[in-house]
Amino acid sequence: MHKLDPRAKIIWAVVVLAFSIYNGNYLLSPIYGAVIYASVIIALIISRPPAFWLKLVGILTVVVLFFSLIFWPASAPRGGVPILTIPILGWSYTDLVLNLALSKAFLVLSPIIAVITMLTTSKPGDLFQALVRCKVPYKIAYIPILALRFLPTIINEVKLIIDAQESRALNLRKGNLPSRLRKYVTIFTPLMIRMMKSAIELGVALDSKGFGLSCQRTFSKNLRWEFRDTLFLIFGGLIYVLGLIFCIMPFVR
Amino acid sequence: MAAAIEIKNLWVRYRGEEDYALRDVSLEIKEGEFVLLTGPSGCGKTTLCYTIVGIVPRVIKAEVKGSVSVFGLDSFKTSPAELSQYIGIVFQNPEMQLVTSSVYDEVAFSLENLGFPPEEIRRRIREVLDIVGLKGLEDRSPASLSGGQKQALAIASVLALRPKIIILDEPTSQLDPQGTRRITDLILKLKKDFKVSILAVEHKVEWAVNHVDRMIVMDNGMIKMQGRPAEIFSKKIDVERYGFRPPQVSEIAYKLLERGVILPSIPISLKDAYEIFRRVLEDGKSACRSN
Amino acid sequence: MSIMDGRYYTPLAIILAIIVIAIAIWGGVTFAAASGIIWERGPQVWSWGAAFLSLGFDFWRIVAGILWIVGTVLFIMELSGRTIKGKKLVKQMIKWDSIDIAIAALAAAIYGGGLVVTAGLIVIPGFTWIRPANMLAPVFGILFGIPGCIGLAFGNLIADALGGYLGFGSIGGFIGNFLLGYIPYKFMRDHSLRSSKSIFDFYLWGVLVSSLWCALYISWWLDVAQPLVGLPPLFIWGWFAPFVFVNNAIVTAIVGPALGYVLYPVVKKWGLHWSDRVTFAE
Repeated sequence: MHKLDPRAKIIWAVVVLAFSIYNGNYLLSPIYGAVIYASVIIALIISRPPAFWLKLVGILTVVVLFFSLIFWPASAPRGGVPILTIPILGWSYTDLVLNLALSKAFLVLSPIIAVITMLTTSKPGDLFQALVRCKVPYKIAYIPILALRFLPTIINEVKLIIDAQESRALNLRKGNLPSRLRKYVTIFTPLMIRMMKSAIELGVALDSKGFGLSCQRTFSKNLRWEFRDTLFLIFGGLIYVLGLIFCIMPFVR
Repeated sequence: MAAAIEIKNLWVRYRGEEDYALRDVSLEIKEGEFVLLTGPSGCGKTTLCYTIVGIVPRVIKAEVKGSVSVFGLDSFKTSPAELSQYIGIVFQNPEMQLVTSSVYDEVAFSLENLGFPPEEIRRRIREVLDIVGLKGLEDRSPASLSGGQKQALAIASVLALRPKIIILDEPTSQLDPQGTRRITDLILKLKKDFKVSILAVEHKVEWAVNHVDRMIVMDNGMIKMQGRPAEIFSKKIDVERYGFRPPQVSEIAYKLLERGVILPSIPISLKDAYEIFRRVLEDGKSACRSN
Repeated sequence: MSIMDGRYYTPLAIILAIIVIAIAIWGGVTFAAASGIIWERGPQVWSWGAAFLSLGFDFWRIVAGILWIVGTVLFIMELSGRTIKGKKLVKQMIKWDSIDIAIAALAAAIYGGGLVVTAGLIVIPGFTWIRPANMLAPVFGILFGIPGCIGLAFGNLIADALGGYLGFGSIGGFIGNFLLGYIPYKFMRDHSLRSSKSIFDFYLWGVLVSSLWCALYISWWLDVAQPLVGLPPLFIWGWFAPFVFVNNAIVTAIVGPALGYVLYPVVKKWGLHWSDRVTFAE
């Protein structure tokens, strides 16, 4: 997945979204939704992201399924065959309700996981180039790239400030809500002051590297569409189309 | 030798400030020269460096009088793109000057901004990473490099533009001794092999005093002393008056002078100090024997 | 005599404060009751959720739709270099030099990173939380102007990405968070937070209006894009909208003015305040 052109991954994420929309609004087949979901999970796993992302996707799946099963029954069509009853809570689900709730859950999950896969397997520089090639002004396109570059620095800075303040007897976990919120002022104030100093240093550094000087910015490694990108899209597309055919076939007969 | 940098009657005052950060500074740096600029904190060293490359007043607003030229080009009127082909600057804080997510991209950044062709960019990247000793680390994130490696990368990103002058603003201030040695070796290599003019701003002067052609001392926005390091540090009274840190061996010599020891000269390096103190001790011993 | 005359500020501010505190107490009590005890009746028992729903989906869709259109027009207009000053449309000269880009990028990193690291002050364990980093939103707007607001927009995208919910719905969050900073930047007359007028303006525009506008903007987007995003309308209008409003309002109300008060002179000293960096031309 890492070697694929980011444009191929963007197209793949859009395809996943399109098929998820179709299933989530028209087909309402939890089996087809599960097929799409499985495809994005497999793509994420084979790209071998840090464990944090796999854990996050796991938690997200549970949370989205839970909320879907709570909220969608109110909008589900009446009737249907009762399939599932949850004993203590007394919730009962018919096949129509389950189809709707699960299809919607997969509509939420699959495109998000496709985007996560795309982001974790693409270099920021390649994403930047893809944005510029989509005619986004390069100064604006570079803002999120620069933000991602300094995100670990800022996160470390926040942790350092929290440690320093906690060593001065600040306890962020104690107190009522307003007092806990007020304590965060002692975290964000030094962080913002550091940020302002850093903004000048960073601005000066960017200027000294010629940022924004030329309208004809080049790239050292131009994105190049390869055969494997086409193969990836064909293979992915085939899975979704074949899955769709198998899910529709029982209704056609 | 031609003048690489020529500054005449330069006055700089930041917007909203009453005092001038630079007062009537006139200075010439010749091509191929290695100059050390020092002085107490707040004396205007960084302002001078920023003004030479045009950051003041272009990015940091200030009132500027006088002239600054780099190889004959007026710093205030020449476009940054053109000026960057002649002069580059490396800042004190390596963290804020590395703006991409890989070593390779960092060196490529300035070249891409200035529209160099891809093939030329790739060639220069290979070249400069080899010079600074970061070959093989192209895919590493700058955040994962050591302090010395980060500064080396910052120098590489400037070197890729092949400037004739490099300004280094306290390049070793945030480095440990190993990092300092690495950067010192790199700077000396640039001077010797590539004939780059170097202007280094420093508080910690030990690494540079034996290698620089000239030293400039600033205080309160003005140039107070200029000359070879040995001459500068021989003037104990002026060193104390202007409040800049001499090498540790010079400090020891000053203490000995205060205690009435007569020294033939003030050492500026460990080697000098060894020779001078050994001679003094031997002279002392022979004086005792004769007594 | 205009409503904006000085003699009206204090009584108006007091009346507004009493109303807001009363609503806050009523909402807080019903929220706790709905979450912990009367669970099987679902979140519509929560008073704010009920208040939102009792006005009907159509009401909210129309109101939020209007706010969505106005908000989007303002966003596009500002990015294209135009702004409303007084009653005129004028050209706004933001240099977008390297300092502006640095401000936007660092604001994005701080807002996004702050949202992730400070995660949530748990209000009801396993159920709901307050995000302290939201206090930064109006402050970024009133201090840094459009670059700060752009930073908020990208910062929210980053937080969505790191939180694992970056998707089609994040487009609404992008502009919604831009508006969180933009509304106080544009409508407050005095950004110094050193006068009662300034503090009143902050609570009106920076706490109430911007929080509500942001919540409705994102909710309308999620509602309209429901076939693409997959969130049920009951969840959007009965839970999400009131929750986003309450979260933003509480956090900025309690700590926003203090943060802005401390930072304003520092920003002015370093020449980074938007008023020192932007010029306008007719």
